[in-house]
Amino acid sequence: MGILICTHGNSAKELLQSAEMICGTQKDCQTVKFEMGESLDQLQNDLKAKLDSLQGPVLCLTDLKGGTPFNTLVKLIKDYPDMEIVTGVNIPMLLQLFINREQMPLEKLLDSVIEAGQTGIYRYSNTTSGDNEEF
Amino acid sequence: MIVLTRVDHRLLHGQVAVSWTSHLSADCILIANDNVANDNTEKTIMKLAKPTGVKLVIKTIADSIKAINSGVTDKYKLFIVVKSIDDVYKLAEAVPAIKEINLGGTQAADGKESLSSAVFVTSDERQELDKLVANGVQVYCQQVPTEKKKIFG
Repeated sequence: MGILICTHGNSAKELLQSAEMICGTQKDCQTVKFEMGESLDQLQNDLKAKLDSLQGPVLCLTDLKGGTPFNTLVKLIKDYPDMEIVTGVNIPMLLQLFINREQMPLEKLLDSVIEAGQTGIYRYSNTTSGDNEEF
Repeated sequence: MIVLTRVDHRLLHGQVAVSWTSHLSADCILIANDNVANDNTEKTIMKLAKPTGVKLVIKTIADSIKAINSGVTDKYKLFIVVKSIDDVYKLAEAVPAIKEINLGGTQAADGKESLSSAVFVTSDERQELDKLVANGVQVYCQQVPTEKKKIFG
């Protein structure tokens, strides 16, 4: 399975590098950036080139539902019917994906990636129980 | 069963909590560290980093030795994390079940020898590692599971 991360600006590449710091270098993972003033054709061509370079079904992670990268990916589904699109990409999602991409079936993997993204959002409050776990 | 003993000066952080724990399928993490065992803020930070579904126990080095040697940890796939080479030396000398030590990261400092891009040792620490190797313990540098092991000694 291939992975494609596409975002506004350069964050796709940076997110990938940050996640790789934690769980090691990834194969079959591409990034695409959408820059200020870039044409829709250019973005679509970049996405196609990267999608064509990946084997098997591709899981696309993008930043914003309704943003141009997302909208363009949705338009490309007719040419790439195996493609999956998930928005809200963050580091916990990438880690979950990178660690489990080889062994988890696609549907379960998608669910767990979305869950990781949601549970990664957390407000710290100084109330964690002082109880210690024992063996 | 001990699945891994790792030296990491950051103890439980992203690489350890996420990558190693899932790679090892560990079901219990033991942080063996005297400071953390006695500091509630440090303990809280470690607990927040704990992966779901995994048990986290925090003990001093002495209590860790007692617990492991008592057999109470045998039923777990136990992942031990310590902060320093001195700590792992004390632990491995007292716990015969430790046959393998993963050097994940130690603080760089002037005068320390570099064993890898993330592991730095003083001459005393190097001697401790030499003794462990002489006792038949395998010691290697490896930061993340996808990286190749670099055997020490």
